[in-house]
Amino acid sequence: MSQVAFEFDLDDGGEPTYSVGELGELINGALRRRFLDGVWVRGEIQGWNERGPHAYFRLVEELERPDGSIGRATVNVQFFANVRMRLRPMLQTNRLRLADGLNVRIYGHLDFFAPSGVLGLKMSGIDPRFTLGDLAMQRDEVVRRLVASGLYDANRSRPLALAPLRVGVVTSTSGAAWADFVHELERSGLGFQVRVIDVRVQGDQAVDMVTRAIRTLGRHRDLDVVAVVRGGGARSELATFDHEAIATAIATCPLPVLTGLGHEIDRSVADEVAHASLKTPTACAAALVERVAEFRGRSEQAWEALCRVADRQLSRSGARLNDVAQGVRHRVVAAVERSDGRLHQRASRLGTAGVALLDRADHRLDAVVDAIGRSPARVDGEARHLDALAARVRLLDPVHTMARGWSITRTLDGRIVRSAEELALGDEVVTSFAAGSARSVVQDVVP
Amino acid sequence: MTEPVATGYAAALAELEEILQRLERADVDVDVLAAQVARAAELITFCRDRIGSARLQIEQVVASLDDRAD
Repeated sequence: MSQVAFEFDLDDGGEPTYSVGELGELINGALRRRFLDGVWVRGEIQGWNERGPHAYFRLVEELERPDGSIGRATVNVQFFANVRMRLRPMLQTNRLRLADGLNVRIYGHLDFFAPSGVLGLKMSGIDPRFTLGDLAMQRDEVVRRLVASGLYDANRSRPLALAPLRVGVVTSTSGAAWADFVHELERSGLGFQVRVIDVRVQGDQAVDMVTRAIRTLGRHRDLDVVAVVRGGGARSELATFDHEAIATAIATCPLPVLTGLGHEIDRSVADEVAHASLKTPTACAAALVERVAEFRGRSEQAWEALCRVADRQLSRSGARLNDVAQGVRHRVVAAVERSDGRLHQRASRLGTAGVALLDRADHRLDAVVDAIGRSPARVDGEARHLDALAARVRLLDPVHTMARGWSITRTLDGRIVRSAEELALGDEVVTSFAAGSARSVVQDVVP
Repeated sequence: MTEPVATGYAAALAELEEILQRLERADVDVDVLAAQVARAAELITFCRDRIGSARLQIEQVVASLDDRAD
């Protein structure tokens, strides 16, 4: 194996060569000279990490490269305990809590940390107006889009039930907000039915969870109202409820949505689009209680009024019925008396008429008896008449005439001979006497 | 008898009157006369029977009325 020879034609030109430590000091010296008292940097907090009293995070800016892809620039930030202590009152005053996703403008000193070879920014100050302004701007943008799409007033147009007793709640059930809300409802003694969906109300997942929970409850037809509640928190955390997804879910929810997000001063976009926004979970529950109680009061008043009217009507009807009953009783008694009178009258007339009738019949009968008594006389009359007729019949009987010597002469063919001229000499005739007859021949005719 | 007796007293009497009127005319045939007289006699007997029977019934009825009246 042959020896490899490295030959450098190195023209160092007298430039110094530093040790790594020397280079680190040199960098730090250059940074201090360049930036003197410090530098303002703006970007979005990512990778927030607390270790003991200190906090570390990255300040990130997303950049669009010339080729259209997205790249990023990052600087590591150290937020040491002493600075955190100093800045805490100012952050609290502005209700800001530093966390991932927040856009900040911070002040600090660049420092090359030799042991790890990493350049970092030691944070020593922050501009709260930048963060608040950014939040406000984002919020305003969301509101502008909601107005433009017609969703801004959509939920307010949903009618709230007169007695919203069936309540869907979106909240973190581990927080005081939930306890306060439920306590206020229970304290009312009204029959509220509550269905809750447990969600994170801050942090990365909050927006998705709250949005889905509102949509889920909005599909329940057995609910009257949805309440979105959480306890107090930093203004920056309220940004969750400025998010367009949550605001849209509330605006498009078929049920009216009430918010109680625990902020005395700030109004989130969720509050803006909600049917009604209350300052706290307790106030939110109280509003529901008041609505139901008012309905109950009105119902009771209406019921009492109804009872009064019904009582009055019943009393009047009762009195009228009594009057009618009295009238009927009087009229019935009078009618019965009149009928009784008429009956007596008729009975009495019947007695009189009956007697008269019988008398008349008696008279007629007497007359008939008389007439019958006279019948024999009539029969005698008839008998006499008949005797006279019989006498006349007797007179006509030829037997009696012939008994006195008269006779009847007939020809042989039976003709009665009334004149001598009817005969000729030699004719035979038959002569009938009272007793017997004789046949003779005509010998002479004397006309 | 060639003819049935009339159905009642009044009819018998009417027939009797009619026979008499007919017989009392002068031109009545002797034979017819005899027959008509015989019919008249029959009718007279019938009427006498009816008168007798009526008289008897009347007397009975009047007697019973008188009994009840007493």
